[in-house]
Amino acid sequence: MLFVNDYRSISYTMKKFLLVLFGFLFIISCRPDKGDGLGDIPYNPTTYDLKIPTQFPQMDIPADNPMTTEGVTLGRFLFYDKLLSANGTMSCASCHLSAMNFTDGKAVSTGIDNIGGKRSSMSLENIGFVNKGLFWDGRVKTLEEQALLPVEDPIELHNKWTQVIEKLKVHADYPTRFRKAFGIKDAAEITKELAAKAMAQFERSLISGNAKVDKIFRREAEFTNDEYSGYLLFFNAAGAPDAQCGHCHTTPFYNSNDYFNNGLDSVSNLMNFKDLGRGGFTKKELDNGKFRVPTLRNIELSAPYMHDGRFKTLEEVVEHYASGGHYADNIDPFIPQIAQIRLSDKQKKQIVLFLKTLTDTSFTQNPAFQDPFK
Amino acid sequence: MKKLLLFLSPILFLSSKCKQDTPPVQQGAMSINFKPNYNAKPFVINKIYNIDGKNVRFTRLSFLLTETCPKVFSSEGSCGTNAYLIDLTTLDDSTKSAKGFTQSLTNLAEGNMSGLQMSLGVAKNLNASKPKDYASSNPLSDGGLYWDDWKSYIFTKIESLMDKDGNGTFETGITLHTGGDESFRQIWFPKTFTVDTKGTSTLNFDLNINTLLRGIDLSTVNSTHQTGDKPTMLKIMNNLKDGITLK
Repeated sequence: MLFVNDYRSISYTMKKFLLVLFGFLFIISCRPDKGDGLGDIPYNPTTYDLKIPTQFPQMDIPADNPMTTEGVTLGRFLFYDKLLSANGTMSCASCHLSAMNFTDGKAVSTGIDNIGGKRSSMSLENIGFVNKGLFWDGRVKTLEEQALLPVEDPIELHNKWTQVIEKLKVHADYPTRFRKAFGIKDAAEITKELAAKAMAQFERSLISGNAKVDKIFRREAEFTNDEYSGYLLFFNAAGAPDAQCGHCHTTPFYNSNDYFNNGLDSVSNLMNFKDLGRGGFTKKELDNGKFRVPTLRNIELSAPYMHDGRFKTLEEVVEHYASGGHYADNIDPFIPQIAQIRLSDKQKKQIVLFLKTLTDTSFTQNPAFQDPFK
Repeated sequence: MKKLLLFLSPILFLSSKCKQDTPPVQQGAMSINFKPNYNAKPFVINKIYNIDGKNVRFTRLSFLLTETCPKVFSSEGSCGTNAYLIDLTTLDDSTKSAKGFTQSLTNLAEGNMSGLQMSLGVAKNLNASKPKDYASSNPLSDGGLYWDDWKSYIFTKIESLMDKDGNGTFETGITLHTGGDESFRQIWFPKTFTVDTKGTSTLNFDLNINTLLRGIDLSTVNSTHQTGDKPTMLKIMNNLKDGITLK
């Protein structure tokens, strides 16, 4: 039972409570706007566990873009997101499909406007280890720089970074992912540079080192006789004839961080190459017609071949080299030497069989590298 | 106060005596410069030279140096693990060639020196390593400078194209590579100079390409990759040793 005094007391207490509540709400309302409240989400990035096979060197990772699980995940989402293209139909992954060793199976790639580029999509496999220039002509030094370019390229995603960033800022998911990866406090802090950093982190995670050839060197598998003969020819090992392949395609990546004219086109003048390649970037005539040596890891899955995708099969590639290539003043001296050993049909097949031991489907099928939207 | 001193003294003793001394980082630096010449004129990459009646254009000329450093006495110990790629391929016009290729040597002891030890190729201890063992900034990380079958770095690369039949087309490739522990060569160049932190000293070397190619018939020897090519490899390394002179 309540008495009058009790009611008075309750009323007084209620008034006090309301006064305190009002004061609290007033203070809250006067605090600076926290925007989207991203700052309340914990920022505790986890160092990414980059598993580098023992036969590989350490990877150069920029000090201002250490790999984190959150950064790699964000990069993976961005890599596969069609939001990056002007009409929402293409993403980075449209030209870099995991099943095709992160190439697209076309001679030259086409962008959102269906305009064909002039070069074939390069594999991103082990791209984090490439340190003397990216793209076929080496015009870009870092993955962070590279990742910025396709978005605005008129023959690729043909968009504007400003538009991409505006979409990311109001996206239901990305602000949180940027917060977790880079510690931003507000969606307004999302920049193209951060997006590029995330994509670069994802690309550095694309490591392949578990092909049959790797298992063989780990004593977990064996070459067949023909594969072994191909290996000996490839590397001029154990007194086998020198097919000269191993001079440019060196272990462990079966590439070299260098640029060569591999005898694709016969030109009477170095200015006459249809695609100047490296020379188009360096502006040195001697570099015309030279291109970066691509990795041969997973080459079986990377057709068609060469910078312009002119060869559909590995057999065609080997045939080209076996012929000694086409002459230009800057042809690499190894190329004409290949013709001297007159590879037999059997030897050519053996080289192709060896190349197929570089296939690593555990890489192309790795769930961590697949489309996260599926 | 006595108590405090008594307490502090063992700490000071431990910190002064028991901590392992870390070797001081050496701050000295200097440069070496190589100017290649052929018939007493600057040697230019991709220029046509008539050698033994055949026109030849060199497309690559490079060699690795390890165990290369200034010394107070020639008999001093190891130079450490630094490696340098002397890549004369960049000298593709006469102006660049006349200027030569300059390589900085760093982490050197400072002071007055009596000469420079130069080692052509990769010293045995380093030659047992592989490109994967090095950071990308080290030339020994370059897979293109390693040959698996030799289990060795490629010490020198001399690559060229020859117009063998005189038809104006340089259709014959020549690739002379050397490697293997037997190919390693060491030279002592006596000269007094000072190494300081500013790297003010430069030693200038000439590389005589005539000497480098001495006794090698490019029209018959166009590749050195097989075991049987060892004598030619050793000849090239001896020639390289003889062809480098200090100005």
